[in-house]
Amino acid sequence: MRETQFAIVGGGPAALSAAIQAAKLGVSSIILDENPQLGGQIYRQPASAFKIQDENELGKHYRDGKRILAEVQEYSDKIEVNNDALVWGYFDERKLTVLHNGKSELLKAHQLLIATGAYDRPIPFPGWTLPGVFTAGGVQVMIKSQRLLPGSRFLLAGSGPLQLALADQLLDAGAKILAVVDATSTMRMMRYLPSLLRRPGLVYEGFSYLTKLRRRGIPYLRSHVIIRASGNEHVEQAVIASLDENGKPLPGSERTFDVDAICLGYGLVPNIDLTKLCGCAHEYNHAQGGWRPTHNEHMETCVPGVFVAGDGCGIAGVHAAIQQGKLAGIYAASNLGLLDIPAADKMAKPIRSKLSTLMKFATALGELYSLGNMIYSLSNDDTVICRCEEITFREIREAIHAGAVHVDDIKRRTRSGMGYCQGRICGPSLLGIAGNELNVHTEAAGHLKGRLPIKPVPLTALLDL
Amino acid sequence: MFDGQRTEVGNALGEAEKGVRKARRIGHLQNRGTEFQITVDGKPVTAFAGETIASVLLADGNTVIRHTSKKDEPRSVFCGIGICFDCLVTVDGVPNQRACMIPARPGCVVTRQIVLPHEEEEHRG
Repeated sequence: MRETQFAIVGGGPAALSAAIQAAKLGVSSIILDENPQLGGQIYRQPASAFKIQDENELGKHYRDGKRILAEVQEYSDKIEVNNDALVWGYFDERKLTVLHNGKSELLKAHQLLIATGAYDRPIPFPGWTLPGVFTAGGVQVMIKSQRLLPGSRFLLAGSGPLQLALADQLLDAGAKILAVVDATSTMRMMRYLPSLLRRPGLVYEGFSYLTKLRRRGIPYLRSHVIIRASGNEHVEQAVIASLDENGKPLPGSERTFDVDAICLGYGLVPNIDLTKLCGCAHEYNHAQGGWRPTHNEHMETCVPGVFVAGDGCGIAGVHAAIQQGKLAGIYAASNLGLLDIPAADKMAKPIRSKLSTLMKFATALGELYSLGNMIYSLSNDDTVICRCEEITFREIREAIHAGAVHVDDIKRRTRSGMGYCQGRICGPSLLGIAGNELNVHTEAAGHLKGRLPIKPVPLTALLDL
Repeated sequence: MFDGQRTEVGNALGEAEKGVRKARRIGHLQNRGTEFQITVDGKPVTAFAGETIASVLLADGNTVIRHTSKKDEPRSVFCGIGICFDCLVTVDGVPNQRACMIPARPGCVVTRQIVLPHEEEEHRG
């Protein structure tokens, strides 16, 4: 069994910042990243085989990512990077099972950081499984890393600032955008504007995206939602509607667009597969994406030696992820005996103060764009909610009305959440639907229990252990 | 249901509409990696080093990546980051691989997981 002082799961800003910070304090670490190249989603770099002609074309996050990756390289004597490394299991005392180069191994970590990031919140509606309907984050990755434009006539639907950033990237790549649709109302945006001015740069960025849309005559429709996608084997039409003050689509307000691609960006959900498996405590935080692992001021969870950082412990964005990663690096080093707590606290103080401002902003942004449960009632009876096991809205509602009050009950009765994705996609919807049907707070329906393997692995992967 | 007839109709329509549905490679092709061929459903398809199998399929107009086993519905890339497992393909004989996560390699053999009419009978058998 391999051992490491510090295992870091993930390859985004939180993971990389933690590795660098820990290396500066003398800690050797191993970064385990499922992707072929480091960077996570936000710092996704173009495929290494591609030649880059114009760096400006790739944007600010590309340059920031490049800088932090170069710093990781500087500490290559301390930081070992394992790409294509899937962490699929956790066992007591911070032992991880990792599938790497087609073989599984057991890795004992004296300290462990889980920085597995987030993914787009899936919101089901009729037609959402059609080819040509993508998550906004997925399309961003296609543009950033693959230099690929997966359509020509786009409709963007969702809630939040990320879809404005995506619209900007799509336009730069030469796409036609028919409309950008946001479920949040203008009034709500105005109400939160003062608290967002904590970070005027980001507000300015948002307005510059809006100006670009306006100049090109692209409608940016607030209080609107996509209610249907249709087409034969591929999306051909998108239907949107405006929302009433209760968050319900207004009959008669429908508008249809001829499209060949739809991007869905309803904010992000923390990826908690691994923290659930570790037995970390989780809490429901609506403004930060829903269920997230709890942690103390050191970024350590209730499981000793297990740290969290980045969007995986609550959606707060790249800058917060960097500061949280640094904190995790400092206190992991402290747990390893490389500096005492007073010294760690002293080092952490300026980081905490930056983080505190960032978190206030993130909370305001999260509250502004957080969606009511009504968004989970866009489906009709036959709409597939669990994309893997093909379980419909009707089947899930029937399970709830037959007595299921917890998402694990719904899972056992319907098989929703038992497929390949292990409930990552349907999990948030099960919660939202249960909340609506039972008229309870969303968190009352719990979260799906973590099971290993968190992603499918071949049976032969077990033989290696 | 997906039957032989519909496949043919789909292909015929496909030629006319393929131009629209093909994903477009951004920038000059020479800025991508080395060009090579892979096999998709028995046919040669152009790929560039650094591209994922999903990119190669989408750029070739194969937007339907599989059909589901229960309702026989078309699926393609959805999340694009390895979370959702919707873009499953068979690569070099190994089924259910995420096309969005696996780089295309020269000569690799990709089969879309679409149930053909004769297989459908065996399925039900």
